[in-house]
Amino acid sequence: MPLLAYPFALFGLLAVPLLAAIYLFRNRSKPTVVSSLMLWQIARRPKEGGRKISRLHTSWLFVCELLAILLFVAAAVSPLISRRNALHKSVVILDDSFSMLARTADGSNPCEKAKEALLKLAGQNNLIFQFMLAREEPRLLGREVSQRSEILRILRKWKCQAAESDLQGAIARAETLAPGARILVLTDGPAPVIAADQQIWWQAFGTRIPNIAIINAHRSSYVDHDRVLLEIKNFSEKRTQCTCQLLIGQARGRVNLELGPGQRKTVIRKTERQYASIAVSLNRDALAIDNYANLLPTTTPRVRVHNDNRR
Amino acid sequence: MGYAGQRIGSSPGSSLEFKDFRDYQPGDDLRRVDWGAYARSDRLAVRIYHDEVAPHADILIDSSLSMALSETAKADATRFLAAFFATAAINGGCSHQVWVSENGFRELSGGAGLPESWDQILFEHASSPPEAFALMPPRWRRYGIRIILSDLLWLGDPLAVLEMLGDGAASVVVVQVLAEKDLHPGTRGNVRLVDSETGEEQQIYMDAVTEKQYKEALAEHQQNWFRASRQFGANFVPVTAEKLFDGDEVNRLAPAQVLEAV
Repeated sequence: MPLLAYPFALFGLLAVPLLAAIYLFRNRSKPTVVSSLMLWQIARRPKEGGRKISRLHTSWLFVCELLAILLFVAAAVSPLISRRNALHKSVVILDDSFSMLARTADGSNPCEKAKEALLKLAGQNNLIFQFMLAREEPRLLGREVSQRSEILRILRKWKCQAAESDLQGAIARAETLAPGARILVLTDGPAPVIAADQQIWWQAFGTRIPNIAIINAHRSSYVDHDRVLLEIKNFSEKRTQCTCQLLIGQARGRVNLELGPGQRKTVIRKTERQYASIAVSLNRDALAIDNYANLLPTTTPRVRVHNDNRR
Repeated sequence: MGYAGQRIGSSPGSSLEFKDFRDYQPGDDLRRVDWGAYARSDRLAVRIYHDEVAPHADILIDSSLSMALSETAKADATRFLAAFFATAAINGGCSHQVWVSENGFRELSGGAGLPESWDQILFEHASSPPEAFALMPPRWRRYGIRIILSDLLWLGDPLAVLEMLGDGAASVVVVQVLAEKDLHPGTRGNVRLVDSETGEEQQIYMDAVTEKQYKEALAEHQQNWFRASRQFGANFVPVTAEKLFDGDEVNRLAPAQVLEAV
């Protein structure tokens, strides 16, 4: 990215040595032989002032003219100079996983907290942001922005709808994209080990909340029946009981589960094929999105064939 | 003035030329009492006669470098004044001697004769007259007239120089020779002043204020010399070198009673 919009305007700096030369020649001391310096000693007295004040005036005039030239050149080159040099670039990595939506006791979620913190940070005038979504694959969000309105517009695209977030991959890409820039990670998990030379600012807004999730739901069709396969995992750190409810047509089914910390259990149910949709739900917890699943019947695609016997 | 000689001096002496009467004072030679006057007036009066003198003038020239300041007529004016006083002395029946300040005072070769017989006067020495006095004072004649030609631009008490000049002198004349450049520097802007004798330099910014300060300092300096001369009984005459040759400046010597002294 060019730093100067009009680099040729730098030729204006040639006026600086020219001005210095003019002053040098104008103020060059003329040698004058006098009978004696005895009577000139008075000119050194500061209280008399004439000589010193005059020289001071000359000096200030020179400084003012020099300053004027430099300002003219700076203006001619482009304001980009001041903007690009003054702003500190930061790459903001937004954890786009579902867990950022987990509600805490106060009703908020890590995503909202992160947005609030980011907007507070953006209030500082000398920051420019490049946003990146950390999903299964990192993805850049728009161009560099610094204004609050621009930041709000970009944050509206942060919906936290990814099954997982590759934060390390996003950090690696940010370092490649903007070497030397500060990397701000907005997530809900604890920070990994960060190398000393990495300019990473890890901001975790999550809290440890019990969560049981449907991590896999599958409906497979057979000739005379369908089969439902559910995988349910306990992400909390303590043993938890939950109820898995199945709504198959008008019939309701219920499976009680007891899951240890990090334990995963599989539930398999056999149903008739007539049901269009099978709804599965778990007890309400902090993260709602992983508590529901709707399983539709598998459809066999129709294939057009030519029947030569019809002809 | 001077030793007893062929000229009538202004001081009382022992010549045959009657000068005046005065009241008798104890100790006066009774042979000088005018008895006739005593008979007429009943007062004792003694006759006073003029002294017979052989007058002499010593002309001291400051031959320091500042007297030959470039682009000025100081050197020529000093030579001119020395010749002027020497000629005046000759015309007045005085003997004279020209002294030049170098490392001490030395007699100018041919300096006792007519100016055309003098050796060339060179202004190429860094020492000032007080320094020359300290190194080797001139062997001048007592009761003579002493004339010093200098720009007087040195630091020190004028009385100290005047005392050396006036030691055993009948009269002292101090002629200050300055150039127009000394009186009115005129230059403006940044100036690097170079001392003509020491080579010392001083950077100043010359404007009207600085020039005014310089002129005030010069006037104060001249005033010091004037006061000291008056206190000592000497004549102080400032002259401007460039104006000397148009005649007017020479006329300034007359009111100062310089010529009468010679």
